[in-house]
Amino acid sequence: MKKRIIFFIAIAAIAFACLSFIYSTIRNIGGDIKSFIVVKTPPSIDPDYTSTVIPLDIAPLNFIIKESGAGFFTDIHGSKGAHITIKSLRPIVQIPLKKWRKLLALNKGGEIHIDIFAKGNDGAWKRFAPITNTVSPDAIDEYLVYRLLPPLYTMYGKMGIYQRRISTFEEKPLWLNRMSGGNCMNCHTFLHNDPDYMILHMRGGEGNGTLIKRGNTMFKVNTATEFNKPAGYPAWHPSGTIVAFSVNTIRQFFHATGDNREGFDKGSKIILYNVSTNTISSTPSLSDPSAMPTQPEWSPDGRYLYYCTAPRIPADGISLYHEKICYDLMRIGFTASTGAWGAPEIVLSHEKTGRSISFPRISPDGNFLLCCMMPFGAFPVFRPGGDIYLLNTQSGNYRRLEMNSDEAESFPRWSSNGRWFVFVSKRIDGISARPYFSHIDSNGVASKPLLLPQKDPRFYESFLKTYNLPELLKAPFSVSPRALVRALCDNKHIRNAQCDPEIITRLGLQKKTTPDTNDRNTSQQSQNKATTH
Amino acid sequence: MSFIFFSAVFLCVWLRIDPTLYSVAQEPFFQLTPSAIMEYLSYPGGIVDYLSAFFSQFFVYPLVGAFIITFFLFLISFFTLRLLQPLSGKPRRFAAPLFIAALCLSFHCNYYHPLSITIGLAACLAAFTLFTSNKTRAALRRFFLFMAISCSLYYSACGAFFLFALLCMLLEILKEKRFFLGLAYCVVAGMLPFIATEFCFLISFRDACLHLLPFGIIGYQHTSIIFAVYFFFPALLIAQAFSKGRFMARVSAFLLSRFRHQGVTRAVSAFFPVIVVFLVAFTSINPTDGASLRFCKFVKKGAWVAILQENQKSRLDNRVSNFAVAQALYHTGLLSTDLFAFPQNYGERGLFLFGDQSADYRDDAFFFLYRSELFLELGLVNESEQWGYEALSVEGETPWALKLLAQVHALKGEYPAALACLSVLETSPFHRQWAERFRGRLANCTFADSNETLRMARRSMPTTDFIRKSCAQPCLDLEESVRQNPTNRMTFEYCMASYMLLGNLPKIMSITETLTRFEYPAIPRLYAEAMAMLVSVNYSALPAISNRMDQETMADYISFNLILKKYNGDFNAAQKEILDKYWNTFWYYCFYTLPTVVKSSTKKQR
Repeated sequence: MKKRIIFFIAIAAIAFACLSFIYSTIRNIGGDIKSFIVVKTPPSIDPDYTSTVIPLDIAPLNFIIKESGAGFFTDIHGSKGAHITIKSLRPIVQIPLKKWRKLLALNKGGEIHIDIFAKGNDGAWKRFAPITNTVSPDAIDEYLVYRLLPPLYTMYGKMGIYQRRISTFEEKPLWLNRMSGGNCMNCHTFLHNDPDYMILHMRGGEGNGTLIKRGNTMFKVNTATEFNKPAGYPAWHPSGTIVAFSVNTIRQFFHATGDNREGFDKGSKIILYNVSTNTISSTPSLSDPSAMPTQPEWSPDGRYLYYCTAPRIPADGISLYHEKICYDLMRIGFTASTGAWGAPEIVLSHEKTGRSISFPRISPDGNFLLCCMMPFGAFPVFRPGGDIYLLNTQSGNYRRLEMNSDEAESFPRWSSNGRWFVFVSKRIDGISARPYFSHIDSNGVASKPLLLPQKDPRFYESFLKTYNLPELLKAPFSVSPRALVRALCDNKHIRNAQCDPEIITRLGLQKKTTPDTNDRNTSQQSQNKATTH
Repeated sequence: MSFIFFSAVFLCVWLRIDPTLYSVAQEPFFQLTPSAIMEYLSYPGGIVDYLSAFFSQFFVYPLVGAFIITFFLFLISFFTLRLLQPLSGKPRRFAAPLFIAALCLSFHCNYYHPLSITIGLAACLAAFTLFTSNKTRAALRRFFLFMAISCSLYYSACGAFFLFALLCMLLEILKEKRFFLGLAYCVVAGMLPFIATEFCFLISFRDACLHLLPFGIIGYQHTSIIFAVYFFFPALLIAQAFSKGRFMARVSAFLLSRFRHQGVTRAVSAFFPVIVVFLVAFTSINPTDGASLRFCKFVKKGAWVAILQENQKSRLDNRVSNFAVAQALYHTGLLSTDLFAFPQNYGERGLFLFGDQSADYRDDAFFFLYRSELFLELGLVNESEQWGYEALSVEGETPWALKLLAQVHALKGEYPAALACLSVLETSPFHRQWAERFRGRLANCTFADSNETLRMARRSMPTTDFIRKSCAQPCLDLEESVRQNPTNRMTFEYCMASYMLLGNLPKIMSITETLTRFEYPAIPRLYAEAMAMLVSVNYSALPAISNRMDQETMADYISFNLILKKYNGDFNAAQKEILDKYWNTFWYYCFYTLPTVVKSSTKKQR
């Protein structure tokens, strides 16, 4: 017994000695920096958090110092006070969350400087030129929702929709496809960054359909009717009762050299789904078979529907003519109370820009419109030349934002205050898209983009999954994953959308008959029994 | 006896089953990163899966692999013995644990059987041993002990927990005569997966119940053995209860003691379990699966002669064997002369390992990387990249996919993408060295210097873009590639093989024009046979090279036709005689095999 006690005491003493040694080694780093060599260039850090604008409520911008050294000392201090010092043997800087928050709060509208010292093998220290970032007084929405999936070609495996709290590193899955038999989950869209209004599309298996969440009500809709196939890209009307969808027939083909994938639309149209009446309607100019209107977006007042369109090319000639498919940015007037449509008008033509336009996104104040432009087509995520442009809706001037890279940039989304936007870019490795934030001032000047920070700054190095469809949210999406899956797989209460009689008459379509009778009854019941949370 | 038994198991796994085939079939990838660990901790059974990933990575070494499997079978046997002893009331030696281990060995005769299921079973038996070793009689204490073990076991071994719960329940009801406590266990067992899916983990209810149980896995030769193993333990408890304690004595007397005491020699008693092991090992392996995986293993290793030998040995005729044999023939310089000396009943689909157009691609996911590797060799890097990513999407990150993609991206000059793949590989202690070496070569652009495949691929890559036809018509992609790289011999031979398998004579003739670039000593036999067919019908667009065709081939074709004529053009009647003389010719393929290939492919597409 006595021997055992002595043994444990000895072990404890050795452990204590080791820990003390490690602690004192780390503590001594930087403690004796009395003299140092000044290096005039700033250090290389990864991610590149230099000369950028930081949201007030972002998680610590942890980074790796890409300089050689036997020890590192990092001093982060604000122009209005507070500072954080980090000593480490490895070139990894992980900033404590509480101190970081305090630093940002104190330096709202000011600057923060990062001084990095590296110890050479000879024991001499060198100090790099400080890195300066500006802390924006404009808040960014607290949550970011995105889809994570492997870089896909034609098949898919595991994927999920996740919610990340921007001010911390907390990430939680909203839905993983392993919960629902491995289906494909597609576009998720919110109304004005509000988690209470959401649309989610799922393909394959029992969850096939579109889930709509409106306030506390959540129900599944089969948007396919006599007039249209299941709907794709959605956009909420500001009233929250109408959703514009594009109905696409998307196909892919592949190149033998260079960029491998090419997506194209064989045909598309835009439809409106009225949530209250469960009806699908459209107008001839948005369902003209000779054109391919797609990717709808409502103006903030709901009076205009913006969309992109290109003339339709015969499907069999698509591989020959795909480089000639260029989309224009259009808009069409709409009166929600009467459902009356205006005449379509060109907002920005590809002839003027020399590039194909896609994914228009209007700022909450309606003054700016972000869109993607690329040499041709409507899939910027596949095109390294895909860039984000900013259009001033008042003046009609547009320009390529300086924050673009040589790789693909796509899916821009505004924050609720219109001072930030999030987008995904493949600038790191050309294969996986990563989420970036950029501040935009009242003159439309966008700041250098800021990569979504991770607790481990090496995270993106070995993370092959791609971020897709980022959406900023004012509040957390609070529906539990299980409730979401239950609602999605609830085919008993699915609503089968009805085609507007006007379309049936106009196009002479055959109205759906039995065996839908039961479905229709179920659909009617489902309107009353919509899942609530 | 146990020593002899487990020595036999070890030898069987090592020499008969071959653990390297598990790594071919399952491609285990063990990552030592916090995020990988967290991923495994995010669902019940993840801990055992992670352990399994760790052990499975050693399957590339047959001896170590055999030792690992033997070790886990020993654990199962050990815990079964521990379970039997207290039940029988006396410390005895039983043969039953060895039989259970032998039956579990039959699981491992299915190369797709994950090691995690065996570990899960061992964990379940260990947990039950722990539970039975508790001597307390107080119901509440027993219940809490059950709860504690259940929660831990369910979290670590998921579905395997249900066997534990069932055993505990039977123990309480039948032996301890505590009906309500047994019922409480049953309720807990029913509640756990429900609680797991509703409150703890983001998984489907099916996975919460069946993960780490072998019931949903295909490929077992004797499915009944699964039931035998999993029902053995509860059956034992039930039988013991109804035979009033004498059951175990009878079983052990039957299985073991009789041999010892009734004059049967010790040698026989020692060899009895060994015989059982061999019986299991020889009857439980699916010979087709084993042979197919051996072909896959040889393709991965580039053991081309071994493929041809294996084909002679196994006489396997499926897409995998066709694919492997074609590659072996190319690498041994025989593709243009001996393609039809081997069965080609899958036509072009066998050459490229493509599935049926109508079939679900997912069924074919296992072959994506083989396809990717072939297209990399052929210089069609984008095609290779596509299949690499398809594999990554469907099968997840595997070392082979990551290595291939790193190489493809490096060849395309997409270094950041190649580095991203290498970074993932570096998270695995097993593959770190390869990744670091490749990273070093990438840094000084010498990555292709020491690798013949990459060097060849770099030379053969198309220079001008075209739209790939991919799996619909890969021959068109090859044809375009040959046009752009006329000295690319592998692409040329594959293109020719592809058109021959399709029976497209005009295409064969148009490509034969480029034959002179490859310094063949004479026109390869199969090409000459194709030419002879067109010469005989005075085909107008014969290539100039057809003048160099030897007269012997022409004479052969004339005699081939004479046989047909002899039977008045009745192909079926003439088949035997033609088969004897021309079994390995393009002519025989065209007249007899090709119609079957076309028919089966059309039928499947329908």
